[in-house]
Amino acid sequence: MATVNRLGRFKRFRSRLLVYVIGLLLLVLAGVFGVVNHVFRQNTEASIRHELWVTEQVFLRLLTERSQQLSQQATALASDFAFKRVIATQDKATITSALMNLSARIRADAAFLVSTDYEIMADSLDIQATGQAFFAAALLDQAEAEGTASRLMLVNGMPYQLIAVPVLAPEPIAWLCLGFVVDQSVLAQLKQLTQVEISLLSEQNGALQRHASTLGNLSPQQPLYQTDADGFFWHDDNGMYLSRLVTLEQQPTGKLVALIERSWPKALENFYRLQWLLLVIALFSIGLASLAAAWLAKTVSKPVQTLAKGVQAIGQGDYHYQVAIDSQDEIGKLGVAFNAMGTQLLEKEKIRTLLGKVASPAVVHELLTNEVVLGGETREITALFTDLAGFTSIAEAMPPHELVALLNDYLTHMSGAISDHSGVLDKFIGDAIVAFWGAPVTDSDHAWRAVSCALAMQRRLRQLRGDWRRRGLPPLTMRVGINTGSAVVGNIGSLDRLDYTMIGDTVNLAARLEGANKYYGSEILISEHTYRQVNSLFACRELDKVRVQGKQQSVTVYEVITEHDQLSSEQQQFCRHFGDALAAFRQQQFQPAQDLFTSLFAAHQDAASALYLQRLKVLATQPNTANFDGVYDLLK
Amino acid sequence: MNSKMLVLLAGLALSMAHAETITVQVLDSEGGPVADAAVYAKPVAAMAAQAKPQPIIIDQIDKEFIKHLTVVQTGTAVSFPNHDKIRHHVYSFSAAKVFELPLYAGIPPEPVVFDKVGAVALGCNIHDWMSAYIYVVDSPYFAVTDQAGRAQLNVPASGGYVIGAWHRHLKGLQPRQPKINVAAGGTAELALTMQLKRKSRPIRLPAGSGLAIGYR
Repeated sequence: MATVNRLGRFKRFRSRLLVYVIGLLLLVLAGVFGVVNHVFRQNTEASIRHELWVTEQVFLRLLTERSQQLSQQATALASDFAFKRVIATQDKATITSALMNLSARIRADAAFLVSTDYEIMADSLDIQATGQAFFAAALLDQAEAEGTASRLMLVNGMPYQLIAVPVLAPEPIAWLCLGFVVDQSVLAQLKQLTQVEISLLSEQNGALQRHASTLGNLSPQQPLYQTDADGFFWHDDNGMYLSRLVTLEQQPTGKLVALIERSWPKALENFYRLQWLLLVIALFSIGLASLAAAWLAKTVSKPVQTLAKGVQAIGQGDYHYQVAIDSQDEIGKLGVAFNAMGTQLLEKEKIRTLLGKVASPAVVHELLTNEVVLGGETREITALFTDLAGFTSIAEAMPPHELVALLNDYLTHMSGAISDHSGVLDKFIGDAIVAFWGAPVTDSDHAWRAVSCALAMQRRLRQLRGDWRRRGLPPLTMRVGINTGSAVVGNIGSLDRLDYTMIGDTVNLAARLEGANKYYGSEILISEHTYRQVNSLFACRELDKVRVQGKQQSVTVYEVITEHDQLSSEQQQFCRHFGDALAAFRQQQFQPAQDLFTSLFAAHQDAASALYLQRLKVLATQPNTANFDGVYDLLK
Repeated sequence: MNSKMLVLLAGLALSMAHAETITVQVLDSEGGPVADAAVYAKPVAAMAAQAKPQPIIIDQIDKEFIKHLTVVQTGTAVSFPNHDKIRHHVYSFSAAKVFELPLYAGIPPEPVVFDKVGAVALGCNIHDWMSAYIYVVDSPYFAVTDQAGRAQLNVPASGGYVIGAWHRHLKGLQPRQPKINVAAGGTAELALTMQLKRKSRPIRLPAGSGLAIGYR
């Protein structure tokens, strides 16, 4: 787990890939090395064991051949007739001298002449030994039985190869015994042939002594090494050796053994060379793998980085961003898909932007998020209609580009106000604006927002009028009609061309109210349906009860003055007086009503009051006012 | 030549006329017959002065001594005629007679006189395998056992005799110094047991090719 965590720290894909690849490679290399090491060591040990076994055979064979060769030489020497003559003289000094001469001929290290009854006649090592019993009677017994005899023996504590042959005349008249020291040089020759280390040891009365060794002057080993079932054993004496003991001569007093050994580190020299080679290969392959991993990581991570940058750019709205990945693989395909996505997003954004210009953002959102289907639903909405009073006459007198500039200026400000109040701008019809609230996004404050928007539009227009005046343009007034109620909203039109719009009586009334402003001299006219929802927020003046064509029900209409908290005391008073006048009018107290309206008109030039004075004048001419209900038809 | 033959025949007739016979059976310790053993009889009483023994010859033919064992009385002169086309070098280093006849062809000018009792091993210096024995006894009554291990000793008169025996492998004799009484006109029989050395004692012989030297 720790490894995972540590690896997890490598944030860059390249580093992670590199670590994984090299880690895996190291694992494989370690495995290979482990197996090679194990197998090599096993094989080396097996081959050393075999070598030692072969060496033992060779060693024994060499000893046998050496003894045969020496026996033949000794036999030839024993046939020397002059020597036989010397023996016949019985002159001990001459015999000894002749024996020395004889042994020098074949460079024997020791020579003995022994009588047929095993008494020493001459001894090259010890002249005083004459007449003593010969120490190696068994050797002579063997020579008598077999013609010649050869044995490895210790003479004066030195290992000798002793050869015994008879001196025949033609009966044996004496035994010629020649000794050859088995020393360093003999073992060196054997080593040359067998390439193993050889030591000659003797064991007498349990004491072990090393007489000669190709390993130099090593201290005698005590006691003898423990050998395994095969006769091999390990020993550590200036380095590991695999060894084998060969008994050369077993005698009652002790034995002569050869210790043949093969140095373990030397045998592993080839393996060490292989180790270096493996190390070089390992480093080389790690280097190669690193390069490969780096290249691979680059080919993967670079496009990924490019893509990440692209995604970031897209996230920040830069749909023009295109990635450049020129490969044919999966990453290349991803790049192509990414670019295609960017293009599509760009197109969608273009559409969205365009839609935003021709349709309200809420509608655009609705269109983009939901499947566009023809059809609608009945919703409670608030519809708003505006118009510029007297625009047509101005339009006729104005050059077209100026007209368009003026109109665009006006519409831009108005649509901005509608957007600010979360309204849906349905359409522009010349200088007229149609908007609604409450769809497509449900909004319980639709009436309040619409009225608030109408006031804001009037305020903006007042600012625009100042501007226009400076440019010498005529002051324009805007009429606003607002109504709240049920209407059908939805995508209406054909499959090729459709609008998100509204239809219904509610909408018609709003349009009629807009037109009705000119009778009352008002700027914002709302129906009683809207009034009920907003009167707590806005100060309104009831203007009239009207009957819409084709409808029995009369509708009370109100002029929106301003927000309650913006209402001045004069306005308040004016509204109250107008209310009193209207009440008098409705109760058919026409004279008081006339007085009140007259004073209102005189004080405020109020168009509504003027309208009522006009109505009173008409009423005065009518004989019967019995069916007077104070409701007037709303003219188109 | 003829006169010599006549003398010989006369001597034989004479001895036959007075001869007593001692039959000696020589057995080894396992009871088997011992062939090629020298057997001799020596009168217990002092022997009358003997005539000088007749000289004898030991031939060398085809690189071998003819007769492997020759028993002679002390003082016998032995000649070693060489019948081969090559030379021989006959010698002995035995205590009873040390002599050499250095490389010679044909008949050596002087015979070798064996005047000491004992076994003499003969060899040829240039042919290792050539081997023969002369057993010297101080008695004219001797014989060599046949394949059955038997030998007949013709002694001139009845009386007591000490019997001796020798073989090249001899280690011990049983009884050691047997004595026997020979009745007049009768025959005496004696059994001797010889302890012999190992028979594989090395004796040089030519191997197949005649060049390599081996052992029997």
